[in-house]
Amino acid sequence: MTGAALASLLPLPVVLPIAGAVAAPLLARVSARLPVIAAVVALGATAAVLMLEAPGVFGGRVLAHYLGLWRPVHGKALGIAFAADPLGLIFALAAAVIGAILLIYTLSELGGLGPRELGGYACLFQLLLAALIGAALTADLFDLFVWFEVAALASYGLTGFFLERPIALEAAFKILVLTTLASFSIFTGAGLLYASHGALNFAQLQAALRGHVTTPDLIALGLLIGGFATKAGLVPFHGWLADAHTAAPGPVSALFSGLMVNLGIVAIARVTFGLYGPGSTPVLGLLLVAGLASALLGAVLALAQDDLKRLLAYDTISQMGILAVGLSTGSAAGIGGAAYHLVNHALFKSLLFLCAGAVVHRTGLTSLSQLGGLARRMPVVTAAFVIGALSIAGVPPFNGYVSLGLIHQGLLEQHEAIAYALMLAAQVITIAALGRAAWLAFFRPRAQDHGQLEQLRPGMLAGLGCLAGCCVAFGVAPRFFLETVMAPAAAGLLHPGRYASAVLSGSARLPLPGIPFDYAPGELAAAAAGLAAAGILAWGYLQIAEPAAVRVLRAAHNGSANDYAAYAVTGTLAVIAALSLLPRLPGHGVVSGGIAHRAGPGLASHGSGRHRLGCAEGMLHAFVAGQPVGESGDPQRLGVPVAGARQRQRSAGGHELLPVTDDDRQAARVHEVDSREVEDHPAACPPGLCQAVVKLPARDDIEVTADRDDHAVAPALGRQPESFHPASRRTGPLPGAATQAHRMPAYPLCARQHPPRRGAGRPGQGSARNISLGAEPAAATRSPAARPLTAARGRERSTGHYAARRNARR
Amino acid sequence: MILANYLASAALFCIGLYAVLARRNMIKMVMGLSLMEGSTYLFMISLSYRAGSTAPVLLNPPPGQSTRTLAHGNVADPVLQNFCLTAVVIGVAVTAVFLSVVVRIAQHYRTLDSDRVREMRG
Repeated sequence: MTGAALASLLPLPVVLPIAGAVAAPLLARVSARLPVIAAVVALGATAAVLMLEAPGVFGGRVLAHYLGLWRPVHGKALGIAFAADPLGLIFALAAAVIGAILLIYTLSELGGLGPRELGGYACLFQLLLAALIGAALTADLFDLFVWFEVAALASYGLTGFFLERPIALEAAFKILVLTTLASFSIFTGAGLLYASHGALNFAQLQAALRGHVTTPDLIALGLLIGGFATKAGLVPFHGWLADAHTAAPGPVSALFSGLMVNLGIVAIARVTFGLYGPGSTPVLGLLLVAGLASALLGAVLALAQDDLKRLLAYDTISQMGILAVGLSTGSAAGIGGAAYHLVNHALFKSLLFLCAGAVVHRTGLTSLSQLGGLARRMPVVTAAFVIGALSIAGVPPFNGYVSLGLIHQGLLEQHEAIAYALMLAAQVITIAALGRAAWLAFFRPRAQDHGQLEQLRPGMLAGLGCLAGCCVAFGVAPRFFLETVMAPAAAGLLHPGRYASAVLSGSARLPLPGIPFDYAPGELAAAAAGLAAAGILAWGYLQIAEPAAVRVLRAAHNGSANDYAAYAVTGTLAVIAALSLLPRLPGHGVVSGGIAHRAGPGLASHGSGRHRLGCAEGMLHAFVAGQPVGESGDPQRLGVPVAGARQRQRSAGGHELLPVTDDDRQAARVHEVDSREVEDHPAACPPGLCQAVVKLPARDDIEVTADRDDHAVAPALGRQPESFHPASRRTGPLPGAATQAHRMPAYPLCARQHPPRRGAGRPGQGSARNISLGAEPAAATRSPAARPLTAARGRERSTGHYAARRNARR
Repeated sequence: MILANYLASAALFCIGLYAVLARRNMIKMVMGLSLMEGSTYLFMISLSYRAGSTAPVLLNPPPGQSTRTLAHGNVADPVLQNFCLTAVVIGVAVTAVFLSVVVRIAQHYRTLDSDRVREMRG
């Protein structure tokens, strides 16, 4: 099938469950079980349609479809776009497949309910899944809000589904208060963005926000993050989560925890990476802090719980924190790990909640202190619970090990040693909590035997078996899933420009990064040590009384809807304040995009990541190595020389200098500092080396961000790089280019260079590559022999998008 | 005076927020959330307004004007108004669910005090 035909199928995965939801109450009149069976069929068809899209999307294509065929005109979209990018497709597929498994389980466990209950249940279940799939596939901010609301309405109904249980009512009230607040937040954020940019389409917003983020944009970002973090259950927005999971029946808890909360994380990823770009705001730092807080707090509270499902719910908060930390690394490994963990968490947490639901359903007991000795009576459930717990614990060969290892790797790449240590601590506490639960519920000898318990029915066995099998499958074949699924997902987030141009014009491809994964001895040793420490901690926790710190934390979760709302509002205000004030603090300027180098004494150029340069009055030089390949707009126009390209404009080192377009289709240059146009000298671009000069006032801190991830773009676009630019045929290094940088007039500036901060490239790839970069970027990373295609076609490309923002040190 | 709109919307929002954070009566909390909701509508409508603009109604143009001249003239942004329409519909549904939950809580617990409905804590 052609891409257009595949793309035109995109609304189907949402339409099918919605049709099933509408039909469910009617089908219930025919037979009580019919709506659930129909729901399984609808979700199976949904998964099949999504699988049809999968080969193309995971191959790096982004399929886009405009509802009603209201296609964009001149880069402006009025219609609502659906776009399948790898991350969205992963989430949509997980929702469809796991949703179907949960429904089969439901059919078996709750099949005895009456027609009204089952009809309503199937309706709300499918509505929630349709909303999740819609949110995963939409490329429109307001549409995302609508799907958020649909998911919220369905979740209210499902939380209060067993209305005879009073705690369900209480939980429904709390989730209503907090999610309604979150929806105001998202609504206002989307409205603010529309009011300042006149666009709702992700692609258009991305183009509007790139490199130029104003204070209203930052407030909108804060509101959006606050709203979606409530859905994701990140601290301090998490008040509703534990209650809602505790009160709902097993499959509903599994749906909430495994799938619904992920909506928040996926939306945060979209907003953070897809709309704003991580370089232009301090949002990644915020995500790191919130993620670590969630990971630790969730783990500690999980360790302290007595209610089995509540324990798992607090562990969900912890796992969402881990996902946020993975996103906050901003590296391919960390984001790929987060995408991997998203799927893994959906699998093992669904499995654990189903086990907990089966235990509660059969024994009628919820508290760990009353349970015990179930291993003998419920061996299958025990085995499934142990598999789920081992997966979370990160024991190879189960799936948790891979994703956690990748997230840790991402943190170490960013030199976040403290965050890494805290993550390990959270991991130890999580393992201890689950180990304690497994011991108390299943293995601890119990004085009073449970007697004969109801057997598991075939559907329940099938559900548990499928999920446990997936946990193992995702653990034993990590390289396959990384290469085919997770690396494209990371690419989609790291290259929002490709996503944008695919949505607007439909022809860009994502460059697929390689994410290396190995069973490294260090990580294995850490996992083993973590297990041992967790064992000691769990044993110790069983012996002692509750520590004071844990008591304080538990007292803060006092069950009051007012207080939980206050936490969430405070959190949103804190996020907004941090986002809008942090960039104003000294030392927090950002120059984003492009390969940038500075000139001056030392001429320490660098290849990727961010450097902060403390500058005296003088000039900032920025070079674009190679010809930039723009990110936005029509790919046919990318890299086209601007008017006057053939004119000799300025000479450096005796080469003809040509202006080259950057993403804004202006000459590559730093044209903006702190939202102000600056005096610059564009267009000093020899074929292999482009330069931009910016005059800077004294005592500025400049942060230079460089992006080398776009090198693979030219071949991926399927274009001959030579044709971009007649003068760029040369494949070898420019004569004299290696010393080009050193020949630049030495300005008395940049007296010192700060050590690389977050995002400053991988360790061990520092100066050697950096210095050679200005001359020959292709040779710097890969030998021409290793990449004959690229080498033959021309030098590799880099983005030449510049936008500079800086803040004067005050 | 458009500034008055923003101020009114901010005031409404704060009153609603106060009710949600400080009132324990669940009906009052729902009312507070409705107030906040209304204030966001007012905010959106004010954002869509431009000085001297008319309603974005392009059908049946008044005598002497065509749809095209209306579209090129000064009309308020219809997209944000559509935002509000959608949100009003969603808001009604949410409020209905909200009130039905509160009614069930009142039936079961015989109280509307949210502080007395907190079995789940810690």
